[in-house]
Amino acid sequence: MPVLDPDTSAARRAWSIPDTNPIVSRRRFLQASAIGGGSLALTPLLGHLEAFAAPPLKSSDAILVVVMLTGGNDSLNMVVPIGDGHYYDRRPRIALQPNQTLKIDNSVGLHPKLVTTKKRYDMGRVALIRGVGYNPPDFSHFSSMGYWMQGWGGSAQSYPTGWLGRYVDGLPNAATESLYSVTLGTNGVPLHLVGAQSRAAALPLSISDRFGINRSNADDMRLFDGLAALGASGSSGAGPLGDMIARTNTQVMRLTNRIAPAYPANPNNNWFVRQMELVGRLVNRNLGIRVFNVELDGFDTHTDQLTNQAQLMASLDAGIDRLFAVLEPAWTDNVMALTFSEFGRRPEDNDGGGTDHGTAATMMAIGPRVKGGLYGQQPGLADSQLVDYGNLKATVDYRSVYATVMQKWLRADDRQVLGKTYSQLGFVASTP
Amino acid sequence: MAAVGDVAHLLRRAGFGATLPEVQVLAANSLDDIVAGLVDPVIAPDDPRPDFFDSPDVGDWEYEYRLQQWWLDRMATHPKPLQEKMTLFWHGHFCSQNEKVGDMKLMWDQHTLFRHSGMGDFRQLVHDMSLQPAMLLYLDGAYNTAGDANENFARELMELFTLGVGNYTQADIIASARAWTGYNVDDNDRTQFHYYNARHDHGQKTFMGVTQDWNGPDIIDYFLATNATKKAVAAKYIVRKLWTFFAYPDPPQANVDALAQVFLDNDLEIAPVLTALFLHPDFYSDTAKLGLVRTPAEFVAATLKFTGLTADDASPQWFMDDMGQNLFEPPNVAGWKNNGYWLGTSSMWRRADWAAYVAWRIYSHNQQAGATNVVQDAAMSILQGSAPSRYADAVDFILTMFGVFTPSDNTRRQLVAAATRQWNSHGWDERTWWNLVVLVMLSPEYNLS
Repeated sequence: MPVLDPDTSAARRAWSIPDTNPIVSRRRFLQASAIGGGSLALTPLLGHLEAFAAPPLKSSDAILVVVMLTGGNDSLNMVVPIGDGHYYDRRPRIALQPNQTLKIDNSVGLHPKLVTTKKRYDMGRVALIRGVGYNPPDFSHFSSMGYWMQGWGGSAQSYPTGWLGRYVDGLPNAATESLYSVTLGTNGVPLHLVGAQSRAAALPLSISDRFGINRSNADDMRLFDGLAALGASGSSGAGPLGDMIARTNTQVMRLTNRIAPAYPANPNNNWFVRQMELVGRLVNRNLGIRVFNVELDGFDTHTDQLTNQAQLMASLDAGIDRLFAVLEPAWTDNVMALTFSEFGRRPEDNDGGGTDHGTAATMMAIGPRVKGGLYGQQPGLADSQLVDYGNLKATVDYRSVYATVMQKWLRADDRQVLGKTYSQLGFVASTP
Repeated sequence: MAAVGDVAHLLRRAGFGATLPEVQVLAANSLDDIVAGLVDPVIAPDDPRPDFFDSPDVGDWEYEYRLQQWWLDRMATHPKPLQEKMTLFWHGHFCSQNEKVGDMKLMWDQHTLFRHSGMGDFRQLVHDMSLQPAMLLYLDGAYNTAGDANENFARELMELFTLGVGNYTQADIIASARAWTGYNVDDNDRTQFHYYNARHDHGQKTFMGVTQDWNGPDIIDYFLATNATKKAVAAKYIVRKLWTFFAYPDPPQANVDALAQVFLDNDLEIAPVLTALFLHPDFYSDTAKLGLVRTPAEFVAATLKFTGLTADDASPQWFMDDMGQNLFEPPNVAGWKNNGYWLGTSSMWRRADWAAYVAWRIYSHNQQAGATNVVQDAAMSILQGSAPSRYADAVDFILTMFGVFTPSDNTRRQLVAAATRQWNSHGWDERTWWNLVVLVMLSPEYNLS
């Protein structure tokens, strides 16, 4: 795995990206080559044609909801290896006893707060993919998150793009359709949604009092039109960042009309549940969104993990349940949720009742078309099986999960998106 | 004589913006003198802790928003803006989040350290911030004891605070975490640092190849003083971050090397680096002048300055979280990013919300008895005049009021078109300047630093 320089590479520090400069340059490059080549159609100028729309989905289209568990989720206490004595030896302070967990079998139990997830598991709608990571591991939040977001196995990229951004790049008119992918609850657009040409939209979690929503006043409307006009000419005259600012304003003004009807009058108080509820409502409106990113933060449980993680697991469970409750029957089968985190945590607990940064972890894929069950191999916890200062050895490359999602769920060219072929896992039962 | 455009740029970056008269007065001096005035080594005496901290029956959340207001007002009005800018820089570098610390009085102590020492001795600053409860609680040093060392602080001390990733190993982190065991907060008073000798791991530890009974502060002195190679790495790491904060991201290596040499020549004193940065020719390049988006804190502070509104009146603290920058609550230990990070649709949306609120607050003040209706009177007298250029004149007036002295042709043309349409719409006349205030606040030029 190549080491990325933290200060020159967006992949690193910037889980939440960046600087769209490279994207702008890329577009300019495409324009220049189109013009220079003469035979290619002109690429639209810097987004001034972006309408914040995407073609509506057909009933056969798949939707992916990516759930970021930020901070490094301790998946050993989420999907607990209750049959392994080493687990109890290494965690005198925070181990979950078998009878505390929601037992799947004699070797695995779910965190006690994952009540509805367990029900879904029992219905065969939850895949637990164990031992997912990469080797050798990187223990930095920022580096490791960068790798997960980039999800690239090809030769070095001159500037980083994300796995889902590259997926959207492959959709029709990706450079101009800004509503193929959206992120909720994050500031800026996270790297996994940044493509070479495509850029996700960041949506607010509530908009009742937001600028531009009420269009009943003519004086206000002239203001909104004036704002949209600032970015409509393609070039602001204030450099690439100025272009970006102006264009964002234009997009905000166009976006308001489209998304406003999806927002609930009384959003849920739980931040994560609110995101998932909004995902469901946006899907129901069929705005053409194929990829959603949501975030649940706070997993960096160096101390007092039992309390903190229990709250997070309760939110996660409630959010997933809310998503599928909100989805209208016509769309339920089109949605799959996929959790990920930058790493799991150290098997050994520490003196503060917490755990330090670790490595491989369990991912969850959830949805009516998921083929439920256990996937991958749980890395061993015996001394002889631990690597890199007492950590789990990954048994499944995270890009195998992505490759499966691409090929079996989104029906995209996984090799194109990931830069390399990875083995397929069997957790997708069927496509819509 | 310095160029007006250069001085305006310098004051946006080393401070939070300047009015045209301020720029013109300063521009009569040489750039050397202006920079020397900004990078003033004389530190203003520490402020007493604001009174509201002493109010009984007030919750920590209220301390938080009131300190946010207090600081934003200070950014807007303080005669030493660079000191506030550096306080903001260190707040985004040696991050603590009050959400985890849970005590704004401890955040105040950290904030005061950054203000007082932010342009002084970097090594001492690292020592001091390491032992403050805000950091001990945020990165779990408070719970780091012999036998089960907690790696959180040890990792970020090197990865984010001083050296950068790739300049240490996991074994170094484990050794450092052991060295920092016992550096906790007082069991009976978590607002005080306390060293518990019995909780310190007195065993031999191998850190960066040296085996001895390391303690925490030794670790800092080792890579910021004893080991010249690591010290040089740290110098480059910090000056790169300063350049990125003040000029533009991804600087040429030559710029980093030049500033790092200044940093090392001055044994990691920060002020000389700032002087060199603000006098670097590349700092005045177009790349630099168009190279940074105003952060929400800068956007708010500039607006308070240009409108004369107080934070208590304009209430930016209720908007800034959604703009992406909630002061005293950085998003994680790596702090805030730059440029595109601020330009998500949802965060720009919130800037627009607040711009409309600011316009409304200006208008409300104009309605108060005895108020000097500076904005409204001037704008309306221009618009009600007969000059053919009256719409453009009104636009120029509002742009200048907000410190935008060189708008692009496109921006100015669009603003004039918007003003003309509104004035001739038979709508509400005052909405012409009102709308212009909002549009200028959302213009590309105003949202660049």
